Amino acid sequence: MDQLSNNQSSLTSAERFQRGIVLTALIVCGIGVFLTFDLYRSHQSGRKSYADVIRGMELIGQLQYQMQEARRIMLYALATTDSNRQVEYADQSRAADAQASKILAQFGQLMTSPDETRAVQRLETHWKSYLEIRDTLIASMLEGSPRAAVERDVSEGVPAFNAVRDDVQSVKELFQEKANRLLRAANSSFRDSLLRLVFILALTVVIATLAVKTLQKSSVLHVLTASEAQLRQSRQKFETLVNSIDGVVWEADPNTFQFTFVSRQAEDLLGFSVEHWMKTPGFWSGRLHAADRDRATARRLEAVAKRAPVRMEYRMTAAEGQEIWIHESAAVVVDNGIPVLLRGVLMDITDQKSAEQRLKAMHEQFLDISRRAGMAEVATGVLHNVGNVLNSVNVSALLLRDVLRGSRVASLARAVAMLRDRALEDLKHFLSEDPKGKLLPEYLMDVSGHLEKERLKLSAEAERLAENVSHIKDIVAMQQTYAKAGGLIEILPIADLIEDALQLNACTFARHGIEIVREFQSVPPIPVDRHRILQIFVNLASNAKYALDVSGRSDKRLVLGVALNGAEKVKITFADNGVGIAPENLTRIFSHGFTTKPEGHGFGLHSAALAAREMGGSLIARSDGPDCGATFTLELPMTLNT
Amino acid sequence: MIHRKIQLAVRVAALMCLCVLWGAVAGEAVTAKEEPLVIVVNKKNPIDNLSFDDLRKLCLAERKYWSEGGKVTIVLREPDQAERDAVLQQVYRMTENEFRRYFLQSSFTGEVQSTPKELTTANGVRRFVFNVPGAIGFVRAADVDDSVKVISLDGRKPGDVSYRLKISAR
Repeated sequence: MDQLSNNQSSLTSAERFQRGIVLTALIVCGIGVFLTFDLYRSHQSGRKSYADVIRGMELIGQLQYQMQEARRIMLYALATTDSNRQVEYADQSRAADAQASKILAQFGQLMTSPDETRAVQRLETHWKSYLEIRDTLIASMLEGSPRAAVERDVSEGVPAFNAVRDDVQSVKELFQEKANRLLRAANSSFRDSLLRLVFILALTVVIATLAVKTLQKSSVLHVLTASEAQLRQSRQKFETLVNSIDGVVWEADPNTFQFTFVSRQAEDLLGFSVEHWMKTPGFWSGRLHAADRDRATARRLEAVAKRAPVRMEYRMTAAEGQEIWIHESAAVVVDNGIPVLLRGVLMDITDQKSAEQRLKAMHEQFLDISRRAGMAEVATGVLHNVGNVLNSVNVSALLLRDVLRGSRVASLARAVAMLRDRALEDLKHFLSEDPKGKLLPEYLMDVSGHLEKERLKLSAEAERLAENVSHIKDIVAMQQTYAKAGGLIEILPIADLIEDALQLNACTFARHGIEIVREFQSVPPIPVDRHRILQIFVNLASNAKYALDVSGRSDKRLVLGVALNGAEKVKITFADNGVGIAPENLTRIFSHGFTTKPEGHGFGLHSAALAAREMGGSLIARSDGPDCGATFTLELPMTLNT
Repeated sequence: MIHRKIQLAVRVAALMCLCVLWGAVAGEAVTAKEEPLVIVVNKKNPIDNLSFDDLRKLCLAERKYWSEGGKVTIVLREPDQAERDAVLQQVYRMTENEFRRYFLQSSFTGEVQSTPKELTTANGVRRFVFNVPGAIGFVRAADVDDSVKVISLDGRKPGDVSYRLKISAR
């Protein structure tokens, strides 16, 4: 409601302001019209007076000419006795007189003062007198009395004409005086107009000042108050906005980087007061971490020089000494091509940095876990094979125990003891006469036959046992070889590595009736990490074995392929005709923790893909769907990427 | 009786027709040959009429001043001009030689102080009369304008049938 009332008040004030402006404009326009009219009137008056003077001077000139002409013709007429010439001269003289009379008549319209009127009237009177004398002269002359005409001309005509000429001169002087008077009047009029103009302008200024003051006291004051309130609100909004930003808004001198403004968050950022930020010389550079000081300062100087924005991260030391990571976004404010201000935002990214470091550590830890998982996978294969061999070893050992338990060696010992107890004389008797003695040689022959068989059997089992132990020894030795080769890039033939992986799973493949098909093309050795590549192959082989085993089909087949893919890559494929992969699983089969095996942990393919990426290659899976088999393709570069 | 009346009427009608025809032919003959010779004076001159005798006296310089006192100045055309011949014939009743001898003699005897003025054109005559208050001149009616005053002769205006001064039509 208060806001609505303020708006209405502002609207009314605006209307008042507009009305005041319109009123002032009307007054100014009226004054302008008056001034224009006054100047126009003065101009017209001066122009008319000037035209009158010019006209009067022109008429005087014409009058003087016509009078002189009339006089000249009269003198010509007096000089001849030819009546025809005299009549012509008389006509010419009268024509000049008529022109002069007409000019004199025009003077009446130009006379503005009594003196001028009297002068012209005197001129007209003298002119009429002269004309009368002139008429008598003409008459006398034409009547044939030239002497009388000359005499009268000398006695009357000449004085009369001189009087007319003096009158004309007087009129001329009057006009000259009038011209001077007009000039003075024009000057005076100009001065008066100027004074009026100054007066009216001063009056206008006074009126405008009074109007402005009145408006200021009334509507304008309201408008300004409303504007100030709006400005205050805008400033409060700005300050609220600035202070609500999760960062320090700042402004600084572009040359010294001395802060001229910082928002209140600055106190929370480093633990220094806002005044400390702005009043401490070199505060920014002084609080920079020593390792970042040169770089951050150089970036700011470069930004100022290029008038370009800058984004950078650096560390600052807080009041309590802890290290604060800062993200700075700043822009250079330029006026007429000169940097005048550096304005930006400082963001505390310490937590972010910590998170990044934790993430990096977790990543490394995860990689180690993956590596360990891969090793476990290999170890599982190794142990599995070792276990299988140990079964054979165990069987051989039990067989040897049973054979040894059922051996006839003990019977042979009793027969030998029987012979030892008999005297040598009795031995002959015993062997020939005694019933037991008579059976003894045959018994010994039977026992020796048995012993021979046992020996052969034990020998064969011992041989097998030795082979199994040797197999175990080989497996353990290979495991030790791969375990020792971790992280080392070697140029190795890829087919041999596949064979090693197959050997680890050889017993498994044989037990599950899986046919291994090798489609190896001749490819050059490539740079690989022996351990990582074995990890990949063991995983792929293990997965293929699982997919084939689950499928339940009798024609289980794993096709291994090695081929060139272009000039720079080698492509290794593990294609089985097992259960296949559902489309929805294809996109996440390499994700960490994803597995379809009941006892799986989701590390295998994920770590294999990571291993492939670490070696600059890629691992992709393709399947047409369930029961359609799957193909895993590993691509590795033929040269080591730096 | 009736026949006689008819004959008398016919004769009267015929006579009347003859008279009319004669008058028409005669009138046509006068207007075709002559026109009035107008007497002009200065507009300031109060006189409006002259008798023929007064005109002869003025022309013969037997009377040298107007009745109000102005000097009389006769204005004629130059010799061999129709207006001059008409004036000499009808007013002076002299030939050119008689006219010259008359004024030569009058000058020598002192009877006249100024002889009649001779102007080349009718306009000259008119302008002379205009400029000289006592001047009197003779021009054709067609040459008259407002600058001069036309006077009657023996009470007859120039357009009247009995106006005495005539000149051969141009």
